[in-house]
Amino acid sequence: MIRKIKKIFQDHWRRQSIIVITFTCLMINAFALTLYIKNEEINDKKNLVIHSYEVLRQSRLMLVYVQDMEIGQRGYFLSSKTEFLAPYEEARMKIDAVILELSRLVGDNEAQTNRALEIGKYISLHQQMLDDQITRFKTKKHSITVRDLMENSIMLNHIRLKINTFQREEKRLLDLRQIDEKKKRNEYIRTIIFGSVLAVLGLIIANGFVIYQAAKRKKAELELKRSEEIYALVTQGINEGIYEYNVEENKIFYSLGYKQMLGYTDAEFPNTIETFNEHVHPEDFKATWENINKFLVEDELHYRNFFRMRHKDGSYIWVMSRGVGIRDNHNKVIKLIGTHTDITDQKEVEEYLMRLNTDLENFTYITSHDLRSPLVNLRGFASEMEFSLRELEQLLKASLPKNDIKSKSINAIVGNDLPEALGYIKTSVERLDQLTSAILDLSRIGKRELKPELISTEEMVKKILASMAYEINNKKIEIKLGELPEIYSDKMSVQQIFANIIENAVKYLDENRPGVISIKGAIFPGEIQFIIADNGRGIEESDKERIFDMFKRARNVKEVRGVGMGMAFVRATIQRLGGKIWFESTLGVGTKFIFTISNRVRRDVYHER
Amino acid sequence: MNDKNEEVTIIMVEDDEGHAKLIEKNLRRAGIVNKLIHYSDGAQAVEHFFGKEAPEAGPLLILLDLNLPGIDGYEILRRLKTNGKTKKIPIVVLTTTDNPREIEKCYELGCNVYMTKPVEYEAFAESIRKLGLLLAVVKVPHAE
Repeated sequence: MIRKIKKIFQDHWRRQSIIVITFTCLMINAFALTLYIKNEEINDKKNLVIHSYEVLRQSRLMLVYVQDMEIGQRGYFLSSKTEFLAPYEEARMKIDAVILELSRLVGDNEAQTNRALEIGKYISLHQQMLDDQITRFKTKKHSITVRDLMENSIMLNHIRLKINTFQREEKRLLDLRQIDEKKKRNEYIRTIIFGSVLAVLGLIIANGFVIYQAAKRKKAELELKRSEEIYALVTQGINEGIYEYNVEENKIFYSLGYKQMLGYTDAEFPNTIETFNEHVHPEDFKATWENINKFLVEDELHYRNFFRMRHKDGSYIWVMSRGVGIRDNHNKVIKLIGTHTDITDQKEVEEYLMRLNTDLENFTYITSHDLRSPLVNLRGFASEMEFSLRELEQLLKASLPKNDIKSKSINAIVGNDLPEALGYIKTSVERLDQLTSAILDLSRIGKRELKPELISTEEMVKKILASMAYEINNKKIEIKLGELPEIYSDKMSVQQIFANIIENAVKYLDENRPGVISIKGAIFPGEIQFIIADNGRGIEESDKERIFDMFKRARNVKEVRGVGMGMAFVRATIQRLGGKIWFESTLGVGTKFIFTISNRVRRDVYHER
Repeated sequence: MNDKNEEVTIIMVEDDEGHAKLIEKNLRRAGIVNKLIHYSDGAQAVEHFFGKEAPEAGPLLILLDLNLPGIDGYEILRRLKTNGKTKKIPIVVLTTTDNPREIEKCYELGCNVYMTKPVEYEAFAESIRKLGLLLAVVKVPHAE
C-alpha cells in the first residue's frame, strides 16, 4: 500500500495533479470554515439583540408590577375592601423575581447593572412605603392622608423615570447591536459571493491544470510509445536482439528480437544461460566463453564477440555480439548488456571474398610458378644454342672458302643475326622472370605469418644503407639520418618497406646535382611515422596516381632497370601492418615518402587465418 | 670419381623434357658418367620402385621434381621415405619452387637435399655443376 502511494508520488504528473487538487480542496474547506465562523458571529450578534429585547421586556414588566401595586393599594384605600389588594399582593410577589432576572440579564454591563440595582432599591423603598401605609390603614382608617398618596406618586414617578433611563440605555444598545448584526450579515453575504467566485475559479483552474497535464502526459506517452515503436522497428529491421546478463546471479534476459532472430517465440526460448549454451555452435563454444570471460576480467570498455548460433530450423546464423559492462565500486563487471546482430549475410560475403582471395592467391602463385618451368627451358636452350652457334661459327670459319658471297651471308647469319635474336630472347626471358618473381612476392605478402618483435629501425636502416654502400659512395650521395625510434612490428615486412623506398630514392636521383637523402621518424599516438625524402628527379603530376599500381612505372625513369612492382609491394605490406603511405613530390625538386606503421600489429591481422 | 660411385644409378623424375635434357647435359659437363634413368611422371617412378618388376640392384640416387602430373613429387617423396626398402636412398629435390614453406615440407618428408632451378641459365648450369661435384664425393648406401 505504502509502496503504491510512493509509486504514485514518484510519478511527476500525478504528484502535480494531486498537489493542485489538494490545494483547491483546502481552499474550499477554508471558505466553508470562514462561512461557519461568520455565521456564528451573526448568531452572537442576534443573541445580543434578543437579549436586549428581553431586558426591555423585563423592565417593562417591572414597571407594570410597580403600577399594579400602586393601583391595587389605591383601590383598597378607596373601597376598604380587601379584594382590591389581590393585584397588589400578586405584583408584590412577582416583582422580586423580575428584579432578580433583570439584574442577571444585565450582569455583563456595569452601568446597566448599577441602574437596575438602583431601580431595585427604589422599588423596595416604594414597597416599604406602601406596606407601611396598608398596615396603618388597617389599624386606623383615617391615618392615610393625601400627603401619603402624593409621596407614593412622587416615588412612582421617580421609579418610572429610572426605568425610562434604563430602557433608553438598553434601546441605544439594541440599536447598536442591530446595526452590528446587519453589518455582519452584509459581511456574510459578501463573503459568500466572494468565496463562491474564488471556489469556482479555483475549481476551474484545478480542472484546467489536470486536463492540461493529462493532455501533456498523453502526448508524452504517445511520443514514448512512438519512440518505442521506432526502436522496436529498428532493432527488428536491422536484425538486432538485446540481452542483459547478470554476471553475479548468473541470470540472463533475452529480448523478443533476440529470440525471433533464432526463430523462436518468447516462451520457446527460456531466459537462462543454458538456453544460450545449447544454441551456440559447438565449434565456437569454447572461444565464445573465453572471450566473454576475458572481457569480464579485463579492463576493457566494449565487449565484442563473433560466433554461430543454431536457428530453430537447424541452420546456423552468424551473430555479432556487442555490449558494455556495468561495473561495481571495485570495477568488477556485474552486468553485461548488449545486442546481437545477425551478420550471416556479411559473413557469407566475407567468406566468399576470402575464398576468392585465396583462389586468386593460389592462382597467381601457381601460374607464376608454372611460368617458370618454360622460362628455364627458354633461357637454357637459348644459351645452349649460343654455345652451339659459337662452335658452328668456328667450324664454318675453318671449312668455308673466304671472299665467297655465300660464305659472307652464312657468316652474317651465324655471327650476327642468330646471336642477336638469341640476345632478344634472353633479355625477354629475364624480364618475364623478374615479373613472375615480383608477382610471386606480392602474392606471398598475405600468406606469410607476421611475427611482431621490437625492432631498432636505426640499426635496420644503417644495415640497408651498408648493403647499398657501393652505389651510395659511387654517386657521392649525402645521407642525413634523423631520429629513428624503435617499433614493435614484423621485422621482415619493415625491412622490405625501408629497403624498397631507400633503393628507389638512390635509383632515381637527379644526375645533375649531388644527391641528398634524409631518413627520419617520429612517434605519434599508436603509430610511428617515417619520412624518407630525396632531392631526386621527382614524380610527374600525371604519374602520381599510378605510383602504387602494379607494373606501372613513371615515364622519366626509362634508363633505370625495374619491373614496377616495388611500390605496389610496399603499399600492400604497409597496409598489412596497419599503416598508410603517401608522398609529396615536385618534378625536378625531389620526393618525400611518408608512411606510418601501427606500433603494434593489429590483432585481426595478426590472427588472420 | 671413385669406383663405387661409378656404379650409382641416378634416377631422374622430371616431367619437363627440356629440363631433363638441360640437367643431363650439365651433369655430363660436370663429368658425371653414371647411368641415368629418366621418368617423366610420378606413376612411372612409383612403378619403378614399387612395381612387380624387381628394382635394379645396386646403389641409387634420385633427382626429384615436385610439380609432376598425377602422383606429385611430395607423394613420391613420402612413399619412398616411409618404405623400409627405399628410405635410405638419397633424394635430391630439384624444382623451380623456392617457397620456404615447401622447402620445409620436403625436409619434413625426409628429402636429403633441396635445390632450386634458377631461370638464369648461368646460375642453373652452375647449380647443376655443383650438384655433379657433390654427387662425385657423396657416399651412397647400397640397395638391400
